[in-house]
Amino acid sequence: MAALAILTAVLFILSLQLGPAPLGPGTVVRALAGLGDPVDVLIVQELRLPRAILAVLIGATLALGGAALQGLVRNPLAAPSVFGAPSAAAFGAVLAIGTGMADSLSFSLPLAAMLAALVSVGALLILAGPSASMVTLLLAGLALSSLAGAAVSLALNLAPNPYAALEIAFWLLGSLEDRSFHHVAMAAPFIAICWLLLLGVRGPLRALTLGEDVARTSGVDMGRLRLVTVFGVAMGVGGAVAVAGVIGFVGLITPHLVRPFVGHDPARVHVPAMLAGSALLLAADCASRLIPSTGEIRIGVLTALIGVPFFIWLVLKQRGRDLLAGTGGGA
Amino acid sequence: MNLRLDKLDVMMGGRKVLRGISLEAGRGALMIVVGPNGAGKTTLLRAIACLLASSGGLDWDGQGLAGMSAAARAKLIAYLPQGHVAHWPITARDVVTIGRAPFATSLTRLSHADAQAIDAALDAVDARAFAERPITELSGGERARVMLARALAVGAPLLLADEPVASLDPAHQLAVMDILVAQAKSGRLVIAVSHDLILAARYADSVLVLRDGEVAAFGAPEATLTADLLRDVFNVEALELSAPGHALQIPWKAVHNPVAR
Repeated sequence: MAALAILTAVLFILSLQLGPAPLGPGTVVRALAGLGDPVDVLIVQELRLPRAILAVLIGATLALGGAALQGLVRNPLAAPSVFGAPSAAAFGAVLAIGTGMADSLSFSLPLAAMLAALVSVGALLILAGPSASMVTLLLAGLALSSLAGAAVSLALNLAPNPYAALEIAFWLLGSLEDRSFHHVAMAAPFIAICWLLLLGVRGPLRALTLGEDVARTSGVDMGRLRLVTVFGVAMGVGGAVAVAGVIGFVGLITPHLVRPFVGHDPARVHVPAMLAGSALLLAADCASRLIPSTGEIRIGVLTALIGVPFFIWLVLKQRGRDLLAGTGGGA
Repeated sequence: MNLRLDKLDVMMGGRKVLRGISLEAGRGALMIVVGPNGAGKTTLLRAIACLLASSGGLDWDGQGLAGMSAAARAKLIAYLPQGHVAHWPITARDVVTIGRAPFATSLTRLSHADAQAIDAALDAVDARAFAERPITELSGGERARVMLARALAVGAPLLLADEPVASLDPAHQLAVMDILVAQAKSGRLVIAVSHDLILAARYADSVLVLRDGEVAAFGAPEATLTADLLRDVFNVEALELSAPGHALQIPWKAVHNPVAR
């Protein structure tokens, strides 16, 4: 955990160093304190700091959403992005932009994204049922993910002009480029509620390891747990997508990375996963600026490129376990 | 008597799966629930644990169980489900720790009482040796004992165990029955579902026989598990076997009834 925190801090500073005008770590730290060349101070505090802060917040939020969802459905293959929640949120956001709501009221953008994510995650849990098998869950997720994808395509299809279509397309790729403190302020309340809700229901997830009957007879209110988790995930995904577009697979990967270090305890995975999520997104954001290409590589593209092979590896691992499990099903 | 069921009914899918179950049982006893498949054994256990809605009387020490808060009930009833499901490869000790969830004050720190209850439960099932191993890597017998230890760690006065000896080899079956008897002797009311009539006859203080959602017989094993009852309820001819201190009716031969229900 300490190592993760240090790694996140180092990546945070590195993130502040990178850009058209590379700065040394010392300069960055001094500029953060408001010292040194005023131009450097401006670059670090106004241009790069919000971007780094968003990477930390969004990385942590997506990881938290993954950890909470995986705990709830008791499956390491669960994550908001696997089930199309970010795509649904993007559709909500695109709708808000398209109808002009986003111009008049700034919070309508994350709100629309959040509501769409809420519908998507809620529908998933209803579709899959209370004790869904991996297959049911993934099929339900596939259906919803496809639906969200189709809705976004429809929005692209019906875009009034090429510029609007391009804007939507870039949104879908996910990026932290040119984000200001205005964006931080827009996402922060949603992210804060997400953290509050999801960190508040860690205990029940441990009891849920032994199935729903054990959890319920241990005093867990399953209805409330589902509701809080769905709402928390939707808040987080909505807030994140509204400012950064679709950044997938952070929630899938990070809980898995830290799980061995907390004894696979679904109640202790959240905070380390959040740190890992921050570190991962900071690293991805740095990489998106460092990889030589004609333009900046979009961070969402990068996380998907890392995430999908990881997902395939997880499926292969799961397949081996299913063969071994044998009678592990039960009631 | 601590537990009292009065004309308990359970409806499932528009059908009454339990009808008019009335019984009383007190702490310090092991009650074993037997009955053919589909008689409602698991349903009864789940109804007592308030996992299923029921109508009629269901009291513990004169207090309605259904009306209690889930948190209060969690300290009163420990429920061990069938199947021994574990979704994450947490250690056996962490599994047992879940038993302390009804008392949890902190996610990471255990109180002294918690730690003691966990150790005592691990000792009761003789699971110290593999306490630090992932539950998913244990053998069926070890897993069953750890799951039982989780239920014991609750320290609840009422322990409900659904087929705790199913799919265990004879040595483990007897070991688990010994643990249940010891738990009853220590002052709990233990209610266990089993298909094993011989174990029921040997170990139970009282036997509840269910048939088609109704009580077919309830009382001391020798009074309930008779040759007549085995024929009527279980459709088997019994063979009497004399064992030290017991005259056991062993299911011997299936009765072929051409006009079976």
